[in-house]
Amino acid sequence: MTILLLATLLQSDLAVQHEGRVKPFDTYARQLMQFLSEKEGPNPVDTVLGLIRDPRAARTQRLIKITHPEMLAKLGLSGTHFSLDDLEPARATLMQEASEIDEENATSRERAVLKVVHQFTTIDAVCRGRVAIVPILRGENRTWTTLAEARGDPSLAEVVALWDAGRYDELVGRLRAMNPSVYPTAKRVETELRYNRARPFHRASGAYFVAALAFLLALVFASRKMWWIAMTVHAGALGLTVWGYALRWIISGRYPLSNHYESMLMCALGAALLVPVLEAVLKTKHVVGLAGTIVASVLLVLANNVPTFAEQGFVAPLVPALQSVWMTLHVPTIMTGYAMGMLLTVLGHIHLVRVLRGRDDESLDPILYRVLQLTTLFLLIGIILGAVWAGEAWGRPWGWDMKETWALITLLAYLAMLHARFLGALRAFGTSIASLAAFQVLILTYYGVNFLFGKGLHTYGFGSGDAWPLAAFFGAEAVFAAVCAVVRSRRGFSRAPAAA
Amino acid sequence: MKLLRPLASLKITVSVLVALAVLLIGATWMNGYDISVGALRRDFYGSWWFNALLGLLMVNLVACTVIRKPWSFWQWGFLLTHAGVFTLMLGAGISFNWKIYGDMAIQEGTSADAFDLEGEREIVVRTARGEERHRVDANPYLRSRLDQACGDVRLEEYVPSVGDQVAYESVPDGRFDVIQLRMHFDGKLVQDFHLALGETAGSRLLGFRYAPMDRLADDGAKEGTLVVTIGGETRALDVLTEVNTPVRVGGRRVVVRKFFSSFTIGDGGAPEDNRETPDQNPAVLFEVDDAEYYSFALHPEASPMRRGRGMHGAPPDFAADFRYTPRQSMVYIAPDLTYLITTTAGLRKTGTLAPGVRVQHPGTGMRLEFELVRRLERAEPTVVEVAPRKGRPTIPAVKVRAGRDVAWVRLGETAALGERASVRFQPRVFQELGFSVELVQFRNPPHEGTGRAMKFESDLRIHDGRRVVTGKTGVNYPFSYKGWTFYQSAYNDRMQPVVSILQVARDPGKPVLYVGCIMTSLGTIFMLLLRRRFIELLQSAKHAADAPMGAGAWAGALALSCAATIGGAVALIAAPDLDALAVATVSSLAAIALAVALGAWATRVSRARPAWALGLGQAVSAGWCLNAASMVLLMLTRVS
Repeated sequence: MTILLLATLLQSDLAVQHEGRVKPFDTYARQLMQFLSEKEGPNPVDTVLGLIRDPRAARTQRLIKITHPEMLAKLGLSGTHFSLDDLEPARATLMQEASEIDEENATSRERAVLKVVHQFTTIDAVCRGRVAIVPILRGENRTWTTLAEARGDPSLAEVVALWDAGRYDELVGRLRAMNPSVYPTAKRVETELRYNRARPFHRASGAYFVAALAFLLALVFASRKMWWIAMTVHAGALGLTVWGYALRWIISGRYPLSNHYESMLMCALGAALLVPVLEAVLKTKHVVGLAGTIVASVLLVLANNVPTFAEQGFVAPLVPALQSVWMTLHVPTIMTGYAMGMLLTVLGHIHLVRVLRGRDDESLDPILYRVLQLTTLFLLIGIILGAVWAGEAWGRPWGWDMKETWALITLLAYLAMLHARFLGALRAFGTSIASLAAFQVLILTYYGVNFLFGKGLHTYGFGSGDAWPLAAFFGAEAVFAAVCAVVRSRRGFSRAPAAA
Repeated sequence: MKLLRPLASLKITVSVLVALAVLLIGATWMNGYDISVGALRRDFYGSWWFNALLGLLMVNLVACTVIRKPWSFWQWGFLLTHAGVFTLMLGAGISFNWKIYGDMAIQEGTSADAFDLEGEREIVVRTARGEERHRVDANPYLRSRLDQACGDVRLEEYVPSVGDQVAYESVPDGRFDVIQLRMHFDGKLVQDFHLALGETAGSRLLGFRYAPMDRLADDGAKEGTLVVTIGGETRALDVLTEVNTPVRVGGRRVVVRKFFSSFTIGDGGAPEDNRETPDQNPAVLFEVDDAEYYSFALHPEASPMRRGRGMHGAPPDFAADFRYTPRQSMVYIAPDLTYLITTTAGLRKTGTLAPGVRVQHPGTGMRLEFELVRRLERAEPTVVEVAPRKGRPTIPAVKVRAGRDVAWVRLGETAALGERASVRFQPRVFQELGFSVELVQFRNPPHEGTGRAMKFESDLRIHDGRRVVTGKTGVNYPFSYKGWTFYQSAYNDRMQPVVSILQVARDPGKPVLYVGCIMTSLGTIFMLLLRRRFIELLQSAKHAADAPMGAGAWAGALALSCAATIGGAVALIAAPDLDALAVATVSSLAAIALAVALGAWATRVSRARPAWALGLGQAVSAGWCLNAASMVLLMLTRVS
């Protein structure tokens, strides 16, 4: 029976008002599952419909994902996903604990507690039918009427009956007739469903990976044919990215640049777009293609799969601070700068791998220099645009805010590299090593300031969850750079470039 | 030149850039450990050594630029970039020294013609002679001793963040005799407080009074007594029985008007007696001749206070003391540290207090104990410094002294200094705005179905003499009038009507800074994207023999490279409703694209016709300069 109901629901245009936006039920279900389980799962609509239709059975569904080891130990649980019944014994304690947490200064464990409680109350609300599907606006906030409220309202008995009978198409017709001006049109819902199903950025990340492999083969075998294959795959991936980006633009009705997820898309897009340009302009082929596709694919894989980013992957209304023309200038410029910085570090790695394999020449130097120039250029102009925006919005172009300061640190790092090159102190090897160091700074600016420092260094030390991947990456890069330096000096290459 | 050479070293550039990056990392690290951005701005980014480092970078920049003289035509990108960075820093310097900014809070339906300067404080000293304002010259983030004369008053100390506890410290010539007490309930510390001689404090559970015992006996007799001293004559009035009965004291008419068991300011702003929580703040309203005054039993330092606007005004020329005995359980302590406990049930217990020894309160089934922590025979009031907390306002306080009278004043509060003066500590007010700003309406409509705001905006009306100008300011779209810009910064809807908080600024450095921004951006783009192309042209044209580009073609190329900017300007003139910034952005992006395309074309034809291509390159370069100049002009018209 549920399967049948589901089939018709999947086809219907049923819309839900959720977190300040009217969205198809499909999007709502995906977002809910992402929030509860940190992934959308095979059939989100099915699962969410199950929660609403059979709350009793929902209690035993293992939907809530908990990974924080301290939390698990405290709750005496093992595993990753838990049901409401699993957590019931600890509910009162958790609620009590959550109410005493100072959200601003919460530690990682405290945030885990808050999240579990939030997940708990969300499932509870969904099970109670608090799903806003009836476009009758209530109160100052113009909130849609929920299913639960409709059940208590005799005038909406028909709507409830249609829902219970699972006649979604008729239900949608009825709901749309109630308030046609706010109910989304069939076309709008269709566009969003297409976006949801196509998952363009998931597919693009795979395509970029394939393109990267092809570029690698082209590079290793110096094959012109392979290069064309790689460029074709890359063009396909780029097309997919642009198409997905355009769909997202249409769905949200504004530039998709509002959060970390969308900025990562922009960054990937920037890296991918510059691949054909640089491949065409630069004389040394393949290398930029390899680096650019690696950057794009890594960015998209991270954006789609790391829960911290993926949970921002759903279109949300824009906060007042971001409603500005300057956002559409500042963010893409900065993101392209970041993409160039990432490209530079990947190119640096490629050069260092060549050094390890005994090919320590200056053949990559012009590309490294060109990409370094572009990084500096985009970061500089991006920061200037940001300062003008801050001057227009807040009345001060520069306020030494954490993000501003780190952006400046990043720029200073790349400027120092650029001037050290003028000085003759850095060549291909030096630029590569320096690009690894500058990339650490860039990562701290891009990710660290938002997700680590923002909460205060003192409450969020290393080892508590999200900081360790960075620390591990930093360590690995340091070891890699040291190994490269040692290998190079053993081979006696250190004086070779000067002689050349 | 010889002097410049070491200063122009690129080694200096690289080391200063790296040093700056490292210092900034250090600064944000400290920021992570709860040192506020404001403190860093003043003591780190504003410090002499940080600015000396920036200065060194600037000297290095200028030296680097000058040393490369004579400049070739194609070096203008490099020159523009370096001149731009210099202009940018100059603009920042002008802003740092001459920018005026602060917060203006306006309630809906009212006007304001002054605003609080950011980060600056003043004290207002009121004496019989009038009112004087003095700027408080202290680092707002550091506890510091001051020695600043402000008329009759001396400013002695500044503390950046204080709690609301009353505390005392022992000093050789202190005027207060104070005891510190702790109350324990069921073994747990519930209260730790100071009590000066003559004061009453405590909770509904248990009151404490520290006073000579003979006074206790007096107090026990009546619930409340107002003691008025005028011209040497003293008279005690019972506030319950002698209401509305005029008496003459020292030749003047004194009437008790109203007794408040718990004086509060009600929602309407009028004083009220909150009967739900009796004995919390006993007060009496009385008249001397035709002026009305309040006297507070628990706040003798604030008594008597004149009734009226803000309850301030000239200090009275008489003394009034309101003595009040609560009807709750009381602990009376005398200066010889003997105590008397009375309970509502009529029980009494006496004894002598010793530091650290707990005394059990009789008559309750619970373990209610109190102890004497210490006694300070010569003490002075002080404040308790607390660590600032995120999301809570930090309240600074200053210590002021007039003769032997000492008071601590918290920001936004007024304290009496003896009977001659009162001192108010407040943000420094800037009054020379020259016009007044009325808040017509504040709006924060939510995103549908959420409590989160979609936008924040205020409708304003400027009253400038007879002229009235209306405007709107919101997040991301500020409003400007006569060089002042109003930014929507915050609001307070706990007050009704709602209060909108605007940031007000006048920044003479901003146009300079913006010009520097444009110069730097355009110079960098030229230097990194186009210069190499034109250098190639120059090299191929060195031994050129073909005909140079004619004047007509030169003008045509110039017009083409400026086409986007000209188009933008025409669009702006034809349709004034278009957003100037958006048009400027589109046209400058188009100009960049055109220049790159023309440059690429020039390099391509340079093999066949090198001299001609060189002319084209020069035209594009000149077009770039013209585009930059028009961007600067547009920015200037927009900013001012």
